[in-house]
Amino acid sequence: MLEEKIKELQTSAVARIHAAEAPETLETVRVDVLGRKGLLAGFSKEFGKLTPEGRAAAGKALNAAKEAIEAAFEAKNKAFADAVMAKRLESEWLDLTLPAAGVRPGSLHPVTQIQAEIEDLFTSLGFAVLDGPEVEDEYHNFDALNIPVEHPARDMQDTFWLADGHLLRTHTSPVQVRGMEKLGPPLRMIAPGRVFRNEEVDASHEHTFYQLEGMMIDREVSVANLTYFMKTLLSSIFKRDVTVRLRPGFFPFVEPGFELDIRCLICGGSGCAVCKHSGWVELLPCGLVHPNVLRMSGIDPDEWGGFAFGLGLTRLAMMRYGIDDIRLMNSGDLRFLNQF
Amino acid sequence: MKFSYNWLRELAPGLDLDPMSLMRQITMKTAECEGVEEVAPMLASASLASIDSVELIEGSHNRIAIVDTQRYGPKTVICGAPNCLPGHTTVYVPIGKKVIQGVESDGMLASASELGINKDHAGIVAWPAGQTFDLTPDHIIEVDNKSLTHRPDLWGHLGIAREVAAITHGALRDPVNISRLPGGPATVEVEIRDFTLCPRFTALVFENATVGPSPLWLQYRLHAVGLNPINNIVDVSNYIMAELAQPTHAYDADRLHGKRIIVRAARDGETIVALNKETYVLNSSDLVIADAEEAIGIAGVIGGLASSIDATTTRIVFEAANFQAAGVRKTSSRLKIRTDASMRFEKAQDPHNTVRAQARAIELLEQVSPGIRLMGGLTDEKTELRRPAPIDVPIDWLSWKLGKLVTTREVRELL
Repeated sequence: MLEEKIKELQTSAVARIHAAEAPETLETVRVDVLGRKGLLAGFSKEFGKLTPEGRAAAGKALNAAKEAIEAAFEAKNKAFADAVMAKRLESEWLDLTLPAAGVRPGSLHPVTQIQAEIEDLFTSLGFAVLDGPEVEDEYHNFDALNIPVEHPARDMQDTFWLADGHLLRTHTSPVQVRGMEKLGPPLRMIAPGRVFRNEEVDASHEHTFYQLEGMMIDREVSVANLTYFMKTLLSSIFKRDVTVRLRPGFFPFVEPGFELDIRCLICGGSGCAVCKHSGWVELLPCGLVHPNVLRMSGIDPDEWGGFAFGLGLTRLAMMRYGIDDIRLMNSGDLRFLNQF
Repeated sequence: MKFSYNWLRELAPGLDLDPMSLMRQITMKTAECEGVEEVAPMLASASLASIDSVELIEGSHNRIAIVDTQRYGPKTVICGAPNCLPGHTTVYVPIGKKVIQGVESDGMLASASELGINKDHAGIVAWPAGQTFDLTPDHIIEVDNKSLTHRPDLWGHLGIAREVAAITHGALRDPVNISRLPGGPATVEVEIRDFTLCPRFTALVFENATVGPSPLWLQYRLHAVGLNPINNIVDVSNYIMAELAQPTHAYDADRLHGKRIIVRAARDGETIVALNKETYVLNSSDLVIADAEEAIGIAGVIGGLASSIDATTTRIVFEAANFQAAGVRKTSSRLKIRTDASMRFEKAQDPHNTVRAQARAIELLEQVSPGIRLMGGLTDEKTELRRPAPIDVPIDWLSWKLGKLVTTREVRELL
């Protein structure tokens, strides 16, 4: 009796499996028949009422049914999987004969671009491009630039001091000193590089940024020469004629020292937000090299004179491209860098 | 640094530029300015007023005052100040009519803080009877401190006024009358142990001083340039600093031990309670001013609390000294106290300025503390001072450096 019922179930289950049109239907059948509370499991409850012989026969039939159903299930499952794969193979295919996609080209950082332009310009004017260490000693960063210990001018630059007494250079000016020591007069040099200040970072302040230092030492160098070189430099950077003016400014390594302002390029001098309605934008500090600085580097200030200037490369790049947050410059963010 | 336009015009009477143009000129010719700010604009329309009658409004601290104003005639105003009393002279401002507690108030009686003279808002201004009202609105020109680092002279109004006079081709009026310095034997003895750290120390002794609030013009000047008025004696000291760039200090003579002031290195571990009520532990690299028993000031940085001037003071030792820039800077940065004095000394002040400050002090103290008298002559301890040396400026050297032909006449005119 029981064996017949098992047979019936086997037949109907296999039929249902064959009839299933989607993996979901198949799964329902599996839970229904083979599941822990499914129909097959239901039969085993009735085994207790049977004689030992009947039980053996029924058990055999049950196992046979289970195997048959499982086999049918596996077969159907495979059929579904095959169908999916066949469909994918039909729709997706790869042409292995195509050449590789290749590496996407990167771009030069805006600071690097400006630096290269200025280096080109000054090289054409006969200036050497010099390099110096980023970890400097106190002498080259301060003392040799006429900023002795306990001089209030040391407050003007917040410094990262290293445990061994060295420091991260706060400006590129120490390269001037190294240039004078190594090459002596006459001298025409620029020194682009990375500098460090112990400052809180915000949209307009960074602890790490780029400067470009320039110096010319010769027999007769005047403020007029300085102005000429600065106008040439700025016209080349901004690709148009510029008007500049000099204001007094204090930097211990130059005397006289100037702040060089440029007639606002946005409004042409009539006043706008960029120039804070003054018509002028402060651009670079410069001046005639202080006699003390020449003397300390072994150059006789009665015989030689020179000018020096500093340019914020990072700030210049920001001005040229209209970047309003300095933090982007060192962010390494590809969405930013891809634009250049 | 804040500079008062009115003060500058007093010292450079030829100043004919408005504050904004003056600021631009200073930026172009001397040092970078950060802005101009108008102070106490209400003073333009203010008028002295004598209070004729006062009637308390029931259930309120406000009073109805009938006042006689000099510029606007009789007015009825509501005033809540406890010192609004009949017979007093105060300041009236016509700010329009307003009904308060059912009574129309036409304008107001103002406190000094409302007028912008100082921070006093306890009551309305008490103006000394019979004195004319001479306070006017001012403009403060703020100069970037960094651009003054190399110019010790520009840390006072006279220094900036000298620039202004050069800019406007006008005259410079020196407020110092050096002939006021008394001759004769000095009352107080000074001993300088290290002339490198203290090249000069001058002192005057005054007696019969009365200590109280300064006249309002003086409080107004200090307040406008960001200094707090304390009392007439301390205010004179601060006024001189803001004018001549020479810091000075006043001690209560009766709180000093012995007759001698000593400028010496601090002892390791020596402590002092300073004017800011903080206790500082010193070491031998610090310089102190001391009496026979203890340190009475940290040289060039801050005075001690124990010997400071208060309402009971009658005799004063007035110090104008010169201290080495590096030493002051070292001590002030180690102890983390930056004061108006230390900021000036660390730029290297001129020792010659000390006696000028003393001469000015005599004049001002007599003005703010009537009856004050000098006791004896000037104490002036000093090392061999550098004489003002002539600087040779070859005219062709100037032209060479500038890359522009300069004439002798032009140079003479500018200097």
